[in-house]
Amino acid sequence: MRSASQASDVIVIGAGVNGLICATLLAQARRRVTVVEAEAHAGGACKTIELVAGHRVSGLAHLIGPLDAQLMKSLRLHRFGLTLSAKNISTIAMSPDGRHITLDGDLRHTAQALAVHSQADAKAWSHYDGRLRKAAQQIERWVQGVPGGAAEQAKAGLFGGRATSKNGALDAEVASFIDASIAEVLDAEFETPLLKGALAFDAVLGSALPPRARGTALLAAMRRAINADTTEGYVHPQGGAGAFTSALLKAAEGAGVRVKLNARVRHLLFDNGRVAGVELQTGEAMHAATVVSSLDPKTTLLQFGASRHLPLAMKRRLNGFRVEGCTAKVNLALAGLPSFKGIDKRLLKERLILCTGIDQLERSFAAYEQGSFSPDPVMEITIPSTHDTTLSAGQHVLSAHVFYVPKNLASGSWDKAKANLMSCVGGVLRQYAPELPDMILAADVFVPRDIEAMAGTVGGHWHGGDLSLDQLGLMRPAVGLSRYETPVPGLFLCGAGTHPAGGITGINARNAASVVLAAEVRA
Amino acid sequence: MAVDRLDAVVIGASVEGLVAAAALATAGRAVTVVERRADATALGEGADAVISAGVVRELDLTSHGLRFAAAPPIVGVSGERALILWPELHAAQASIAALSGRDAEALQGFYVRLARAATPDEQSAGAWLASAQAEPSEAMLFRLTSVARLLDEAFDNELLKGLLAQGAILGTGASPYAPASGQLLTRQSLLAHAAPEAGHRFVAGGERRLRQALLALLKFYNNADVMFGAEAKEIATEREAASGVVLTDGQVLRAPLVISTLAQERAGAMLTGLKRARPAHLPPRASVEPAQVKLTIGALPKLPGVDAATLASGAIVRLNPSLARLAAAHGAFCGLSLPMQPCLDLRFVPRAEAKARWDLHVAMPYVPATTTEGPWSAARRDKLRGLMVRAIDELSAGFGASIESAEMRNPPEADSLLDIGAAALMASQAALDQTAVPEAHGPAALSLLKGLTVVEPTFYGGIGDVGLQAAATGSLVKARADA
Amino acid sequence: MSDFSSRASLATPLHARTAELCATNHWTEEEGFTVPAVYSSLREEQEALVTRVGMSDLSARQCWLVEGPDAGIYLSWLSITDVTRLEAGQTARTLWCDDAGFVRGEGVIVRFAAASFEVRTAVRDFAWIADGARGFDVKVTNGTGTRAAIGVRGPLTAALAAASGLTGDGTGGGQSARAAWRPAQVALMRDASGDGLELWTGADDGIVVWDRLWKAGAGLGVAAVGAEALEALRVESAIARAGVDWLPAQLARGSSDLRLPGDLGVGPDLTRRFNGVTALTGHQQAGRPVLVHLSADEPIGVGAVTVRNATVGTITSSCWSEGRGAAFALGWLEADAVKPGIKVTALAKSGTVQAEIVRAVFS
Repeated sequence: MRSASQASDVIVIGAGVNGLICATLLAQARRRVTVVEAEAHAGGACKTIELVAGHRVSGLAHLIGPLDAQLMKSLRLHRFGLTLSAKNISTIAMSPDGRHITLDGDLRHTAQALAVHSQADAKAWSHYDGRLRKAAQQIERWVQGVPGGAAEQAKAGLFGGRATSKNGALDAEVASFIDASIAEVLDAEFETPLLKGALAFDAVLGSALPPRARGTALLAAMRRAINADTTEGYVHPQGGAGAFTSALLKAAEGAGVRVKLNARVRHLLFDNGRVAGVELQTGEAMHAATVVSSLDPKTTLLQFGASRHLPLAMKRRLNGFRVEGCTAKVNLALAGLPSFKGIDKRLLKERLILCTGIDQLERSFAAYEQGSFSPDPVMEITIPSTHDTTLSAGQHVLSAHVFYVPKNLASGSWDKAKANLMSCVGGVLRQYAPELPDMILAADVFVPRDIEAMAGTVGGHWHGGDLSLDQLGLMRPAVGLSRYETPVPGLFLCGAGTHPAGGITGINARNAASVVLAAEVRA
Repeated sequence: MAVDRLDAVVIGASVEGLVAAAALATAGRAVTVVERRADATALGEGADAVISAGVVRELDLTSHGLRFAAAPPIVGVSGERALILWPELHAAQASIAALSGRDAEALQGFYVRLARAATPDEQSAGAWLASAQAEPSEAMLFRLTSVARLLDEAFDNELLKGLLAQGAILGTGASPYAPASGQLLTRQSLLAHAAPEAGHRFVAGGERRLRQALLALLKFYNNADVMFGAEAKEIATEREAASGVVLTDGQVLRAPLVISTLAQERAGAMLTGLKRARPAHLPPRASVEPAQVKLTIGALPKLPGVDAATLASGAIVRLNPSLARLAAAHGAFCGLSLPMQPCLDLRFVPRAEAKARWDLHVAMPYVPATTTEGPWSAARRDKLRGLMVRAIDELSAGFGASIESAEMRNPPEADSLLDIGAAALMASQAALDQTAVPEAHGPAALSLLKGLTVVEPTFYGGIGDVGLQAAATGSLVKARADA
Repeated sequence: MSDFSSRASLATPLHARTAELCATNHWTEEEGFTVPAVYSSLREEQEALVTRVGMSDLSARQCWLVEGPDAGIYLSWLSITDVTRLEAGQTARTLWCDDAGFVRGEGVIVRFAAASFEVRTAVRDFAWIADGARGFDVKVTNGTGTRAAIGVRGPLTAALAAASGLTGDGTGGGQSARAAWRPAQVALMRDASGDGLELWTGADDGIVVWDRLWKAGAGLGVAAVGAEALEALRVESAIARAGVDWLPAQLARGSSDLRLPGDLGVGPDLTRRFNGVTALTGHQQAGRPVLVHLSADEPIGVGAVTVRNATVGTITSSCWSEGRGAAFALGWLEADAVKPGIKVTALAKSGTVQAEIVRAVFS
């Protein structure tokens, strides 16, 4: 039926970051792996696009990481052409008055930066940092591991025994993070609105939750736990996000993975209730005993014919998985490097957060929940051309994640509203860099609807599904589906819709690969 | 009273206070309740009252004359349609079937889930997250999930989902999309239909009868006493622990345990004899109480699909409830403003007089304690009331004309101090726990000082439950059980 | 609340006749429908069932229509039975499990044609079959209330069928005939006891069919039998009832209420793929409680059962049989407490009663 050279043990659907990493790890474990990608280019949410002639920019994701050191080692991406134009990128809480606060992870630096605003906050910083670090340590295994425990990971020998936190229940204080909102935790610790705004922004970024929602404190600890084993932190690849994908692609091929582009899956193939491969839109059937999908769980399980093999209640349960995006991406080509009030140009390579306080975050959320966006939106910006000259010869590009932008507007259409959103973004930027709006040569605005089309993920959510307590761990994407395995034998999930959600971390793929191998051991 | 030495003094003859005293009395402890007012039964003007089923069981209140009425129907009105959740399952299913045949068939299973989730889980959420358990228990699932996700999984119909969600969030600042809001669905006041044995019971004869039953129980025990017209002035302390209560007339009641049903700030202020600093109380909470208006009306509004008899039977009516509208209102709340479209809870209570008149209790969730325009002035409160009346008028033209008088109960004036006992009363009258505060996991009855327990009704406990807990917190009940 | 019946209950298609015949005006409610509890007297109705023949209104039964190319495949995934093997006109008594392998429902699946099936069951749960259909090319509709169902029980059942012109397939086992019984189309099947018949027809034809049977039965001493007499006969004949003797998984309040197919005497083919099979394979079968049939000289109460003051189980339903002059009950006992002939102590109206274990119901 199939020739030996064409045979695959595993088919991975989708050549995004998670799909490619999962494929590579499986190929390194001597499985014959084929990746099928619907688009003409690999990358999913990690592509470099041309904004206008001479200006290239990361289409969606604009920073990579934090990547696990051990994972990076096993992928050997540097050998496959990955050069970083910046690493260990810091976060700067930007203030319109120029009194910025740099959060670079160094306790002493941060305390010094804070002292400009408040002596009390400078003193409190190490206490807060300690609380968060302790919480992160305790939930690290939960955040990074396969939901429900790492026993099978250990059995498969892949990253087994990497657990760092002690056994048993969480400390009472850490457990209180489950119920606490990030706003109340910060209100109790600090007084500087700018600091609280930036920290709260980081906690809720990508979640359709206000900073006063319960459980958002845990999200802050969770981000910290994802950072735990990284040596390079947030990085920017030379050439943008697409360069990261290129290196991944080469690493995959180097490990023996076959990548088939322009190969859109029509449906899955089954054999007596077991997955048996995929059928492409072209009608071509590809057989494999294992299929790993990096697409969103709803598409994988409900659109490709698997729903006939799913337990009845699970189909209903997937209804509740919230996947509507709440973040927009704005890319700008700039005639020159704008100057930001009170900041050295060298610092413009960092990640800049434009959120003056929890109030502004709440106002942005208020507008979002009413089906609109704030005239004064909060955002995270990077200007990658400050350190990566390949992107924009002599000129500059700016990339912004604009937060709390709804997928559907309560009134009006996005076609018209995009220009309005752009002018709101311009208005915010002007507060920090007055000349910036006049330097704009070209602009792209991608709202969740566009992201849905570009990344091919239902709902267009940055994280492949809302990041919130009830959509993580054993409940992501739904109870009974959380361990990367599905009830259909041979069918696995590895995309951002699995624990621990999105961000370019590769954790989903790494965990999925270990589960795939463990399932083979069981069988 | 025949005893020389008291075991406990309870300040305030509110339902919680009386329940705490009753729990101690039945455990064989000598207890005295001091009440500022001259006659506690005169307080209960409400046509109906609720009490936690657990308290009824624990104190065996039915043998002290307590009788119950059926839970009121809950009505959702949207456009030309109405959905009525009757207390009888099949009647509720028949009403839902007109909108969604599928949802009607899913109702019973959902009710059973609520009942299962209302059974508290031994395991803490932290322990579960850290454990290797694959499946969460029903209680854990409700504990962590949002109201919206639970309802989206259970039902298709937006009106039904909105109707249930609005009941869940009322009295909280939580969005139905907030994680960990799911347990709001298992509040006792919402379980009267789904799991009557775990929910609130509706007391026939209202607040007055409830107090009568509690007073009858206390009378039955000769180790319990209720002093009316006795106002506490001071909480006496000895060696930095509460040792009794000093009344305004100078009388001193000595007891090793004091249970206060006054606001904790006020109880704290009564601790005058302490040498060290007064114990700190919890930080003030953001107001999450709904705005409440009591309107006296001469005619019932005509709402589509609901007859006058149903309205007058004490039905709880929600206008245009939906998850989307609640989310939008919550959005406005976050932005410290009022929603364009308010989500209203209406309750009609016939007045005991010859002419046909009704009290209409209107509650509106997500009203911020202060808005971007400043605190609640009289003029702005009038404006808010106008917004509420207009929303009813939109569904029933001419409603505004039937209003004879209006009384705004909330939002409170900035400096008004809520008497918790009275708040519990208000909650009983409205048959909703509108006074509830989402202090999810803080203790319902907190110990400010050795020997002093402050009772705060929270929505997680049912009405009366906190009183029980206060008695237990005082450790007297437990001590007896151990012996 | 005040006016329960008008708000809560629906009338069955046979209501006009049953109301005429219900001399006691004593009604009860089944799954939202109002049906007679007792027509004449419990004693008379029990006697008719034992000595002659009785007719009952069973229209409160749930009836779900499953149609479309995938109908057979879907129902074979939903239930533990491969219904694709049924011939048109055949029926299968089966049960279905939830995702965790616990019993969610039981009933009869009837195949009318290649792509047309009907599920008949006692407990409301349409949402289950409707939601589960996602991904299958089927149309699922709730036909409850659009059918009239008539039960015929008693030693003269066959005689009544013959006298009314109903013969052939329907009376001969698992077959469900569409009798060309003008003017009405009638589908016929054996009931759960195996002794009686169930006739299913469209709501509009219900009265016609009832009248025809009633007329034919006049010479045989037919009696209308209400819910109470049927319930007593059920307990006497040791037939477990969903929602009473065992709770479908979605209605279970605790894990001790959950039932596996094996608890109900059904051993599914675990090599076949059906909903819940994976979880089912992992469940422990040994040591599960056992449903037993008990008898005593005086009425047995529902509640805990003890042996030498130790609780060993629970009575779930009981009846007093006029014909046998004895009380019968069904209840769940711990596996090691079940020995036919031994006595257990059950609750009675006042005090307790010694009841004898007749047999394990599913052995």
